[in-house]
Amino acid sequence: MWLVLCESTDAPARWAREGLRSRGLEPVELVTSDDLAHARWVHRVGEEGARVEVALRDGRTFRSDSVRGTLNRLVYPPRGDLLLIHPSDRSYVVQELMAFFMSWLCALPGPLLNPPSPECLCGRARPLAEWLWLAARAGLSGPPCRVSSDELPAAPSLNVRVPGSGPDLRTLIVVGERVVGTPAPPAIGDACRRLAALAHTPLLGLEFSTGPGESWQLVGAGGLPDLRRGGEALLDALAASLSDGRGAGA
Amino acid sequence: MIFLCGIPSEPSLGLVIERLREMGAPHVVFHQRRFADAHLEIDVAGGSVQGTLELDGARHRLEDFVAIYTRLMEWRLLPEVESEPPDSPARRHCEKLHAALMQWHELAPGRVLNRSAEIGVSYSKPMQLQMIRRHGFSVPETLVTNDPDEVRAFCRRHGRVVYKSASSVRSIVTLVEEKEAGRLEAVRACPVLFQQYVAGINLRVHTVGRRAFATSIEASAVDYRYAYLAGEEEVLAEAGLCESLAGRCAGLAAAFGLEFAGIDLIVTDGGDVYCLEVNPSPAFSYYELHTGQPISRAVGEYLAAGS
Repeated sequence: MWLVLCESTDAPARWAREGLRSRGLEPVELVTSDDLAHARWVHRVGEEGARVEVALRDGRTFRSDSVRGTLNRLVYPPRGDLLLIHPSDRSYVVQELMAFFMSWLCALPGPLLNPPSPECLCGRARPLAEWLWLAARAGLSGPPCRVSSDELPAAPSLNVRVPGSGPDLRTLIVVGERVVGTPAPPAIGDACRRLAALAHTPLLGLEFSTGPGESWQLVGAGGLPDLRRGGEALLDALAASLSDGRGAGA
Repeated sequence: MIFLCGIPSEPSLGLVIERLREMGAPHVVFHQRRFADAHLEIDVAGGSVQGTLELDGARHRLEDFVAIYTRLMEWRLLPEVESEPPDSPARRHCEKLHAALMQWHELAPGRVLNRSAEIGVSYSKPMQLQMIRRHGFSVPETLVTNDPDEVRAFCRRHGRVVYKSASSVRSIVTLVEEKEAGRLEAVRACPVLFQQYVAGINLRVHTVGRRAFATSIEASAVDYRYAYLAGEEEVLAEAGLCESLAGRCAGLAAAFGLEFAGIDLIVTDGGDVYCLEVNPSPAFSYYELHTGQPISRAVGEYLAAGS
């Protein structure tokens, strides 16, 4: 079994699920954040490793030993459960749910695209300056960036973009060891792979502006790209990554 | 130059400042409660990180700092902020300054004890246990569930069982006894972490780079940090650590990306070693002040060697 975990409004995730099925991955279970609300959870960690059993309200169940790979686009734990909680305990419960969700996601065997962080269940919400700094280490050019204690920081987001980048951007999506999207020079593709590795983000969307002389400048990055922009090639890469284990999260 | 931040009267930070003074190591302290007088600019270009930090009227170049030790507390809880209205200029400045500081700590070259990305691994105890186990330590059998029947079966299987928070929110580790068993239905509201109780000697191992300092803690309380609540006293003493275990602890901290860590171990009567947790921001002063172990000295030397 493969899992596609997502928010209920995540159209790219539904598109990816159909694409994976058409490529022979069966069964592919789509499980939304709403589906996970009020589920029965049993998660064990010990000498035999980590396991999870989930029984959803709709009757579906899954156990970690039957999972072969996961496309993870969950952002937060389901909010539905919070309605049961006394308001004075909600902040604590939010943190407990986040900690629990991080752990069971990491207990799933096989590739996990993408692994969770304390900021977001499908990866780190890095500020733009950190993406540009990592990109430079990976060999990608980007505009200079200033962070100041005079400016209110942008709200944490999984996908960030340089303000005023314009509409004509080229999109590349890294899926494990593969890079799909706009045709790009090999050196750019290699640098994108290095950036995904440095960022521990095996499924990574990147946006570039191209100036005179075809110089590629990174202007956007994030772990929750619109998968549809990668087209059929992305589905091929995703199916391969989820099947062969490449791109497994940290 | 070394940068330290937090509230200097906080014992762990205070000890490191004292050691750096004794060593004559150049350093700058950002007193978190004096945020109003602080200003930070960071320029990121082509992989380089430069900028300026203004503190109490003095201006410092970021590129002159070779190491950072951070003991920042949650800025919203600072006394100077708590009473401020939601949109007051002071509150906004405090928020902006801390956001910039956090970004600098992520981007700064050199030694940073510890970066927030690494601190993040402590956010989930069960996730951390998975990583600890992968690095060769035994871990207690652990169950996180919202099914009371699973908890009952787990208690029957393991006999003595404790429960505690799954997140990094501090909680008192408590045995599941008659009172707790009577309200297990409450777990249906949110998965709760239950863990096999492992009897033995508590060992706190502080690792600073490759160095390790072990402290044994004898206490009859299940959670020795709160022994005083039961009118009991814990006894702390410097403990010997064999080279192999010291190396494994330093290796575990390094695998977590932590240059400074507090590792909680239990050594059973049979000599088995269980690892309970890796603390990425250890309040080491509690152990140093009880035993005289030179942990702050090691931290100071580690920071100073960053240059």
